[in-house]
Order: sequence, then structure tokens, then C-alpha cells
Amino acid sequence: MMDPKFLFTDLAQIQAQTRRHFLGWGAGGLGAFFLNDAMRTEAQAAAVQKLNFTRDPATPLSTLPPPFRARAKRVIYLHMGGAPSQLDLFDYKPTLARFHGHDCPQSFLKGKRFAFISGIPKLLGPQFPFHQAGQSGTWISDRMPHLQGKLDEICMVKSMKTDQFNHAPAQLLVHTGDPRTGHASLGSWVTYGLGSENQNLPGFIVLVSSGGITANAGKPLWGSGFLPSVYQGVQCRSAGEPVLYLDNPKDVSRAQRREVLDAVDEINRQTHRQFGNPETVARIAQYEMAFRMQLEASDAMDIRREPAATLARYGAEPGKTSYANNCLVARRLAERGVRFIQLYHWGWDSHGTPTDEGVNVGMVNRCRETDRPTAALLSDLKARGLLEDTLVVWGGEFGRTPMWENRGGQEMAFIGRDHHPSAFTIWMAGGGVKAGLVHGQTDDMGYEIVQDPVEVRDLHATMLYLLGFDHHALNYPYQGLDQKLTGVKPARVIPQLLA
Amino acid sequence: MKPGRTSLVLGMIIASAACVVVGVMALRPPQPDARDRVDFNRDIRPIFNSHCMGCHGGVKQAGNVSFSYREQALGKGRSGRPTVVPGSPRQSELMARIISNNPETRMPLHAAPLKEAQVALLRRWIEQGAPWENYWAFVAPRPQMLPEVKDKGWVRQPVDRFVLARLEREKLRPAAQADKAALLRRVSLDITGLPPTPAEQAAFRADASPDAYEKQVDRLLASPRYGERWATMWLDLARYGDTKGFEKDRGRPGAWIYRDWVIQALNANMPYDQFVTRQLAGDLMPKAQFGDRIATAFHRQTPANDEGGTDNEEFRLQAVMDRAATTWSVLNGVSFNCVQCHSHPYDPIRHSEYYKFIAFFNTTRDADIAFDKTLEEDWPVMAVPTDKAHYAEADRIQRELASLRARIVNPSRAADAATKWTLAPITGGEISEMLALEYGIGKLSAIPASAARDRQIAQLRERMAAARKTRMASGFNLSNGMAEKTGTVPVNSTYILTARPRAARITALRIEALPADPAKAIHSPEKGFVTNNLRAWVVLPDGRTQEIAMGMLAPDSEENVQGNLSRLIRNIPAAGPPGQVLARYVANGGFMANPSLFRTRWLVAVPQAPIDLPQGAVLRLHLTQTETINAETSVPSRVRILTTNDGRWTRYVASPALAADMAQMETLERSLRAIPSVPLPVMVEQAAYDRRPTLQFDRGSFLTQVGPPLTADVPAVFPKLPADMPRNRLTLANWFFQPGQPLTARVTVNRVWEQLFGTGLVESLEDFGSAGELPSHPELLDWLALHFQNDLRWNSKALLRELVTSATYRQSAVTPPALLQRDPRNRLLAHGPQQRLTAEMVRDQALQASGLLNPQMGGPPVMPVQPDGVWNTDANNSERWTNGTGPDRYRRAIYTYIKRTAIYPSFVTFDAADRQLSSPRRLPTNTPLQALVTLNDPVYHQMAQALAARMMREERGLNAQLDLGARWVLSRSLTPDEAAVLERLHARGGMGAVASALLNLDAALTR
Repeated sequence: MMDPKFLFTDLAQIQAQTRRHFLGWGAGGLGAFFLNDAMRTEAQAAAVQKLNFTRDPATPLSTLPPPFRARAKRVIYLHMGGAPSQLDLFDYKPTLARFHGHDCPQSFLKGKRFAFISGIPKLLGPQFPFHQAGQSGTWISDRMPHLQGKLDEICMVKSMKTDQFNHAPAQLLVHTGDPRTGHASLGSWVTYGLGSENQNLPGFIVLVSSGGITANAGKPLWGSGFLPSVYQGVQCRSAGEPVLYLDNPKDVSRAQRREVLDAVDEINRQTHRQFGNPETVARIAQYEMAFRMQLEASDAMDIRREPAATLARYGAEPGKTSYANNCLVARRLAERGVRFIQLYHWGWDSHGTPTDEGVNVGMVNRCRETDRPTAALLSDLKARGLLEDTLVVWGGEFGRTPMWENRGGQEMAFIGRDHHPSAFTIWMAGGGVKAGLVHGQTDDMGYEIVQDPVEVRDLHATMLYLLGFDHHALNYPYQGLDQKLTGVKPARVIPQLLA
Repeated sequence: MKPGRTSLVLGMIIASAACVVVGVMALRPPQPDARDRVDFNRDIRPIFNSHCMGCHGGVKQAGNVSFSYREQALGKGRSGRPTVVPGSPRQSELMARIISNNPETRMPLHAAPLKEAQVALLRRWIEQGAPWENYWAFVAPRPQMLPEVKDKGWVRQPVDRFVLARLEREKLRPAAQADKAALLRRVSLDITGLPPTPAEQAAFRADASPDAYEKQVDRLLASPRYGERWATMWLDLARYGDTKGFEKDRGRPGAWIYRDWVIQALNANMPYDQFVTRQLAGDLMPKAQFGDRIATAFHRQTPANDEGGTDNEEFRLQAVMDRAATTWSVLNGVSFNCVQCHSHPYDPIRHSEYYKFIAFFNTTRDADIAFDKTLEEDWPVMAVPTDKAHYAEADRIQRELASLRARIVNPSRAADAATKWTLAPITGGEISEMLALEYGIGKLSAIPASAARDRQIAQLRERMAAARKTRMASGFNLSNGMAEKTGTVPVNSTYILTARPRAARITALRIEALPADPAKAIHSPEKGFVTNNLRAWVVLPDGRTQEIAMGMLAPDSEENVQGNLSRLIRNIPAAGPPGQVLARYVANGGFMANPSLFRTRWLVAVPQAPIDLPQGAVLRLHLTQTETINAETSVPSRVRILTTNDGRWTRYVASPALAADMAQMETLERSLRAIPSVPLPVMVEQAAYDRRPTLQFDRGSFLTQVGPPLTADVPAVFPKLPADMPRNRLTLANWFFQPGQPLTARVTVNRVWEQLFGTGLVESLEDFGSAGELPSHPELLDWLALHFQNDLRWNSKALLRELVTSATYRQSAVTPPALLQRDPRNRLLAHGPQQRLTAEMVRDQALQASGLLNPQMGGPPVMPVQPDGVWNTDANNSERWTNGTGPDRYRRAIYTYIKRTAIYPSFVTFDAADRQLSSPRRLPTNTPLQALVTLNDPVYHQMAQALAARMMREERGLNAQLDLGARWVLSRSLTPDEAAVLERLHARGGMGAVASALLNLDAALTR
């Protein structure tokens, strides 16, 4: 396989010299895949080969090889629900600080739709000191003291944009590629395309912290949409029963359960001999898998098995529901071959209305809850050799405004920023992304992107690329269309983000 | 939403279009002889669809070439050469391109060339004049002769002739009839969703009469359980839920009224055409009954987003478009969503036709309303009594209220139209938060004390203290006599306006709230407002003021009458003297555009007596806003004031009829509210004066609407609407059932077939278009469709009876290995169906077996036991799941509360629909999580325990006890081998283990 970097940098040249040959070789296959959409013709896009995701009904999560070389084998997605303020964490704007407290210029407001800002708001400078850190000299605020040590592992995108300015639709867009409910989530697509490496655990696991409150759009964020429901995310809990109904009832021992299953198995075999229905075979396998899952899932979720030093590094406390615990569980799941591990930590919606929605209060707490465990997760993955093929993604659903929110014309009780779809920051690490990179740029006020905008669908295309897919070819027929995660608008793999 | 398509038994996971195509090819009639006439649909369209339309279809028309329509195919491409010249392959660019040797021009571009046979077909087709045909699904079903068959003795129903003819052609023999036990289990679960009880099994076993089975079928069809079972399918299509969806996902407390209507309509065997027509347009039917209005809640099941800061018009339009797409998908299996942004990629439906169609649904009053104090949540809603005994009264009151509202609005609008208004330029204006807060506190103080009231008062006082310190930078720009708000206006705000009338005598003031861009607002509205109080003074030149006593606030719309009346009743808990109703109305009245401003809204404030202004006097008005729209500021952006000295207004305000009507309205409204009721969102048409036009959206975005207003219409590929009927939902609903409509009957019979046989005759239930599957038995589909429509007159139970009494349905499910290899998905129907139970059946069967089932029908949804933490999805919603206690824990699955963002977990695991969008098909999957549910879910554990207790209580001796368990769960006795296994299990684990094993057997989970 060719080095994609080579392909991208020299693509124009290659194209000019050998277009015919190159396309001839690549039609529907390798060549088409490595061409960026901007450069490929519609004909090629349409000619992408249909992939075959057929599986034995007994093992719907069996592993399928990625169609192309994969840089990442699994994903840990750290979703910061509510949308963290990029302006107070990563996207440092000294100019905005200078204009702090001034009326927002009319040019910022004309033709814009806001969730809550009305009339003329004031500009709001960065609320925390920033400094540069790492070899890369990346800017970061003092709210992320642990993450600052990981900046050289991180590939930061400061030019993310979305077209949704309300939480539920924006989160749905980030997680399912569409702002409405009913579409398949990222994790569902990936497990559908690749299966899972561990048949005794669900392939797509969801972990929710902040008191069990999910992000605003709720469970549709990890739904399978039009894909078979076996690919939906399975919510696991770090306190109590790790998977719903995983534990035997209190008065049933594992040995007793085994006896019941043996009887079920034997009778089901008789049934199959009589009727010859292949579904019966699938059911026999299903019960065996459930029995194994009871042990394996309990073990995977049980962080008491971790040494005290590890618990301390994450700030994890067994028995609690916390983001720290979930980060540690995520590492344990990654080690066990779970394909897609999705964390939700809600509470970043810093409007400034109640205490917990203040940039100066709630957001500070969110940083405190997440900074240490996130950094520990990256270190731990790296130490175990898992980071190179685990793609870690951190981000919210949109950004926040450089203006101080003035909901209903009132001054907010706390410092707050409104929803801002035009620019936000996410970062990735491991899994074939370029470490230490900062991609994209916003203007001096942090309001609009001035360089290298990245749409949510571009992020998806890039993630799928790292997992070994052409995002066009990972599709599923529904409603008369070959549905794709990246939707109908053109999506691009962002070559600069690739290692 | 779990359709999709599969080509493995049990619907496992396949997305290879290639596989699916092969599957269908194998079932197609043999290819015609090479010299035969080319059949466009059979021979040519599949080539276009799989090789050409991706780039030359409805979406992309590369090189200006498309094969969507014949006239396009006969047109010229960008090269200037005609694509297809009928009769002349040599002049047709199509032929030149597909046989070209140049890889840069040969089509399909950069893909494998067409096969020689395909090239030959295309050439012959052009030679024969390139005849075009509509796709089979868009052509009305054709009458079919019943095919001749050899084994006439096997046939029990006409459908069997079609199935058997096909089997005989394939040299296959149908399977033997299933044994009585298997048959009764299958048909009981299929018709009622519950397995037969041991007593029912015994009765059927003992009945040796030739029509013993038919008697069972008739018993089952008459059971009220029938409606509960088949309602599930319909509620999936209707995207029924007990919550609103999206972020907050708050409850819809009256939604269950619709669920119960569906169950009752099915049980009453309402003919399918009426069943659908009432749901689409019950409100428009002549002499619409209360139940007909309830039925229209079908299209009010659309989700709504209560999240703060959302664009209300965006979500209103989302609901409108969902109604259009759901109508097409449910009634005709046509995928309509993709036409929102562009012409259909495969089917002949044009972009503009989408918008013509949504015009049928863009005329209803509903809007995205939440947290509103003026209009009810999800407005318009109908108050439906929780006790049916009050239906007639509630119906009568609401109809009277509707006509009273019209009687109050019509004279007001007529008088307004006849009046010559003169602008009273606004010469001064300021915005006071304090006045509005004082007003709000005053109103709250007048209602009886409660914790909530006191909390609200405290909040307002707190705000008052803050407002004393800070001053908002808000005010008005005055130009052309109009006041336009500027700066940041507080939520609670009183507009203080000074106007200088041109005339000395004033009989009425017209207060207007205007859009900034009236031409655009009419289809792309601006932010709405709620002015909930109005006062006016005469300000004399010396500064003294004199308040104007208003006699009436003449409304511009029924919404404004309703809004003011709702406020009156909220602010004044007890009924007052009828004689003072106008005074009460005025004191609590205002006007609004809620939630969106489509056109200028107005209010005519009519003084009790004409005002004569002294020289130099001016008017001062207070417009107060203390209510919100979806929890946000609701102030008007632009205000104008006009006056008149027309004496008609003085007579209008003094009219005894007006006062009587108003008093009657207050009385009725109060008595309606005294009936315990729940609010059911229903469809209500806009008044003629409020109609919004529908325009085309540029590339599907509601933010850019283009072109002229469109007339509601159906796509041209379908039969025309009757010319002399109004273009409304009722005409549309009737149109779907008129003779010659190609798809309604086909789609319906296909759906019933799928429920019984596991796979539809057309496998893609949701897509009969050319991207969907071809029918496995096209003649049977057409025959059955016409039979259902013409002979059975849409009688659903009769259709079901005919199908379940067919020999095809009665076959044994035993599948010999050779047959499995030959026809793995049983598309040829050489054996009987075997399906996994639905999520609902899994629960209901276990409830019945354990003896816990509470058979109570209908009523508000219940909350059976579910683990903690499943339901706290959003921080802003305080509604919580409260595990039911008592008999409500054991209701049938269909009565379980459906929270859209957190469906009952064991249902999700067994593939229940998520009720976000219309779900045409559930796709059964197979995961270990299902085993964990039926083994470990405390609900199932409890049911297993109860079943074990019943087995021990009701029978003596182990064998009899085991057998009783089997009859409850498997609907049959145990085989000796099975009994032996369970005896061993009993010896080691006791009866509880046996009961749990029974509930987890493959035979228990299938039918």
C-alpha cells in the first residue's frame, strides 16, 4: 500500500501525469479511495464498490477486515456535552481580551441566528490565563493543567464548524451525521463495518457520567437508526450492574444458571433437529455468548482490579459514577478489543444562568472533573502500546460565542457564552493522527474561521479513513438511498490531520 | 426505525446490494427469448438504475443527461448529441458511449463496461422505438386470472393458487399442514399477540369438525386482543409516543387517547379506507364526530423540540415535512424525504412536486409551542375527557366554542375592513421593566396562594430589585410614525408609547405589530410576540392624564380570542357576573403572534364611548409583555397606532349580542375545564385569513424559499386529483383510496402479508419505488390488492381471515435442508412461516403464562418495573419513571409509557421501533442482550417464579406440572426428550429453574 502522505502531497502532480492510468487502476477501488473528493469526479464517487458486510447470523459482530489499511483499530470518543468554551480552553484570543466589555460590533450580529443572545451583547474576553506548552508550543488555558503535558500527542482542530445551534440537533449531527433523530450513530457504523474483536462484550459501549445524565439528545445519540439494532450502543454503568440485566437474579448462582442454560441448549438442539430453522442455531450461540458476557463484562467494568496508583492517576474511585472511572473503564475495554467506546460528560453548557452554567463556576468544575482522567487515559494508552491504534477524540457539539450572553436582555448572574456553531475546537490523539499539530484558525475575536474550516462530516470522513474505510463505501440502503454517515453533502478526508 | 433489507433468515445483517439483486433475479420469470419485444421495466430500467442513474438520474444529471423521464432521455446532452433517438441506435449517443473503446468517454465512466447482452438489449430497445413505461408500482394493479394448478386439492383460498402455481413451476411441493398445536400457537399470536391458553388448546384439540380451525380464527378475530396486537404495527407507522422527543422529551399527557382510538377502531373493524381517512382528515369530514377529531392525532405524533433557543418555524416545518413523508411511506411505500432537496434520484418525482404536496399539510394551525402560558402546549389541542361518559359533553362544548370564536372574530374583522384608519404617529416611546414587573406581580397576587405562585412572585421581586440598579439600554427608533424596538429588551417589559392622533374624535384605536419584511414573512415568518395587557390614556396639554375605559379589544383572529380568554380564566379563578364579561376580557386582554409573525397582527381597542381630544392632547399607551414564547422574550418588534372616528365601533361595542356571546364563551370554557380531561394535539386548519403560502425551498433549506406560491397537488406520475374538489387533506385522503390509485391497496396487503409470513411479497415494505425490491409474486400482489379494495371493501379482518385460513399459511414450518439451500429465505413459500416473537409478544406471553397478566384495556400509559437510571436523560426535565405498583405492573406491553429518548429497555433489546420517525418495518436481530433480558430482567425473573408456582399449584406430579408449563409457554405438550431434559433440570435446580428455561427456549421465542 502506498503512503497516503505521499499521495496527498503529490496528488496534483500524479494526476496531471497519469490521470488516465491512475483512474483506470483506481476506479471503484484503491485509487478512488485515496483521491480527495475535491479532485475526484462524480462518476468515481458513484462507482465505489459495494462492500459486503454479510455475516453468519449467529455472530453479527464478527470481525470484518477493513477494506483499506487502517491506522486505528478502535475509537474512544470523549464527548463533552453542552459544548465547552473553546475561547476559555484552547483558542486563545488576546485581541478579544482587549475588547472585553465593549459592545459587540453590528457586523457580528447581522444575519446571524443565536439561541439566546438578543439585542446588542458585550464582548467577553478569555476568562483564564493562557500559556504555550509542549514542543509544539500549543496554547492552552490554565484550566487544563494535566492535559498541557499531553499536547505533543494531540492533534487539535480549531476550525470545526457545524450548521446546528441547538444542543440536541447539533449532538445528533456530531454522533449520527444528521441533525434529526433516526440515523445510525458513528459507533453503530463502525461496528457494522468492522464488527468487534471480542465476541463476549458488546462492540459499541457507551459510558455516561455527570450523574447519569446523558447529553441533550438522549439515547438516539447511540442508536443504530436504520442499521440493525444489534449495532446500537450498549450503555454500561460504572456503578451497579455494568450492563442492564447482566447479573443473575440474587437467588440464582452461576452454577444454577449454567444448568438452566444447559437444559435450554439441549432442547434448542432438539428443536433445530426437528424444524431445521437456522435461526435456532443463532439462538443457541446467543445464549452461550450471554453466559460468557456475564463474566467478561463484569470483569472489564470492575476497576477495583486496578492498582491504587492507577486509580490515583485517573482520580478514579470505585463504586462511583464519574468521568474518571469511565476513562479507566474505557482503557480496560480498549484492551479487551471493544471497537467503539463512547463517553458522555454533560454540563459544559456555560450560558451563565445558574451557577453550574457559569464559565467561571460550572465550567471550572467540568475541567477539574475531566482534565486529570483525560490526561491519564492518554498516558495509560501510550504506556500500553494502545495509543498508536486507538483513535481518541475529544469535543463538544458546537462552540461558544465571544460575546457575553444576555438572555432575554438580562445580564447573566454568571459569566456565560451563547451557542456558537461557526467555530469550535476539538482534538484527537493516537490512531494515525498527526501528533502535536494545530489545524485551522479563527479570526482575532475567535468568531469566524479564517483558515481550513472542517465540517463535522469532514471529521467523520477522516475518522472513517483512519479506520480503513472510504466513507462513500460504508453505506446502507434505506429510503431509496445508500445512506452514509457523511450524508449527501460532499465530505473530505482532511489530509493535514494524518500522521 | 428498523427497516432495511436482509437476505438471511432472521434478518441478519447484509447490505450487499449485489446479493439482494441476485436474490430477486432468482425469483424472476425466465428471461425472454432474444427476439422478443423488449420490456422496458423488465429489461431496460434495471440497466439504467444500476449503471446510469447514479450520475444521470434525478439528483445528478451529469453532462445534462438523465434517464428519469423519457423526454430527458430523448433530449440532447452537453455534447449537443441526442442521447436516444427512437428507432436509430446509430444516431443515439447512448449507444456510442457504451461501446466506446476510449476509457475517458466510455460509459459507465471508469467502471466495468456493460455486458454484451445488456448492450444488445439497449440496442433492440432503441430499434423498437425506445418505448417507455412507468415503473410497475406506479401503474394500477391489473386484474389477474387465478392460475391453473395441478394439485387442486391443496388449495383452500385463491391466494394458494398463486403460491402453488409458482411452486409447481419450480418443481417444489408445499409442506404438510402444521400440527394443530403449532397452528393454533401461530395464528393466536399472529391475530391477538398472545399464545393460546391450555384451555383453548384443549378445545381446539377436541374439536374434530372440518371447520375447527376456522372457528378458532373467528374466535380470535372477535377478541379485543386483536386490536391490541395490530395497533402495535400501526403505532410504529404513526410514530406514536407519550413524549415530545428531542432534548427535553417532555410528556404528552393526552397522547394515549389516540392509541386507544386505534385499538378500538381495529377492534370495531373500521374499514381501512375510513380508518386512514379519519386519521388524515377527520376534522374536515362533513359532520365530523369527536372520534374523527381524535383520529387526526395521527399526524400530531410528530416530535417537537422544546430546547431553549430553537427556531420554532424550523421545527414546525420539520413536522409538516414529516407528515408528508409519513403519508407517502405509510400509504404508498414511496420514499419522499429525499425529494426535499432535489428531484427523486430514481423515481419520477420532481423537486417541485414535493413542495406542492407539503402544501396539503402546511395549512394547519399547529406550531412548535412549549412552556407557553397563553396557548396550551402543543396547541391546538382538544380536551378529551378521561371518562368517556363525558365525551358527548366535551364534544358539544368544544364545537360551540369554535363557533362562538368565529362569531366574535368575523364581525370584528368585517368592521375593521370597512373602517378608514388614520395613522396616529408615535412621537415618543420608552421601555419600562419595572411597570411590567409590577403588572406581573399584581396578576399573580390576585390568584389563590400556592408554593408555585409565591415562588414566581419572589422571583419577580428579586428581578425588580436588580432592575432598580441597572438600566437597560433599550428603546425605540421612531420613523414614519412607527416605533421599532432597539437594543436589548427585557423579558418583562412595558412599552410606553405616545401617539399624536390627527383627528379630534376617536371611536377606536388600531394597534398593529408589523413584520420587517411583510412579503417574506408570509412564508418565512419573523419572531412572534405576546402583548398580554393594554392600557391607554389621554394626556392633556397640561400633563394631566385620563385613562380611557375600553369596552372591547376587538380581535383579528380566533387565536387572539382564545389567548385572551385563557388568560382571563387563569387570572380570575372563579366565574364573575356575566354583565361584566367584557370588562374582564379587556382587563386581561392583549394580542399576539404565537410563536411566529407571518403577517401584521392587530387589535382594535374600542373605548366604551367616543373620545374627544382637546387641542394639543395626545394618547399614551402601555403595551405590557410578561409572558414568554417557548420560555423566551416575546415583545413586538414594530408597532404602529391608527385611529378612526367611525361610529360603527361604538355600536359594535354596545351590541348585546357581543356581550352575550362573550359571556357564553366564558361559561363554556369554564365548564369545559371542569371536566377532567387530557389535552390531545389534533389537526386544525388555519382560518382563511391566516393561510400561509407554500413555496419551494432551495436545496431543501427552509431559510431560502423561492418561487411563486404553490397549489397543493400530488406528483404527476400518479392519477390526478378530482378537479372539482378543494385541495385539502380530505380530498387527498379520498384520493388515496380511489380506484386506479396504484399503490394504496398493494402496500396495505403487503404489510399484512409481512406480519404473517415474516417477509412481504415486496420485501422492502417501505419502498415500492424502483430502488426497492421487486415483488416475489407480482400477480398475487395485484390480485390481492384488487380483491381487498373491490371485493372486501377494505375490510381488514376479512383480509386477515382469508390469509390465515389459506393452505399456504397453514403449512408446517419444518424446513428440509435441501429446501433451505434452494430457498433460504422461503420466498417461494414451500413451508410455513416461523418468526421470532415481537418485543411485545415476548412480554405478554410471559405475563400470561405466569398468571400475572392484567387484561385491563386502555387508559393512560403505565410504568412497569425498569432499572434506575434509564430515564434521566436530560437535566431540564423533571419527569421521572416511577415503577408501577399493583396491577399496573402487569399490563400488556402496548400500554407501557413510550418515552422517545428512553424506550423501555427490554423492548429496545427485542427490536421495538424507536418511535422517532415512522417505522415501516422492524428488523429482528439476534444479540446476547436478548438472552440477558429473558434470563435476568427482574420482571422476567418474577414471571418465571410465578409460572413455577402456578405449575406446582395447578397440577400434581412432576410430569403433569412440567407439561402445564409447556402448554402455557410453548402452547403444546413436551416431547419425551424435552421432558427428560426438564426433569433433570428440576432435580438439580427446582421448578424456578424449569420455568426460566421454558421462557428462554427457542420454541418459546418463536411462533
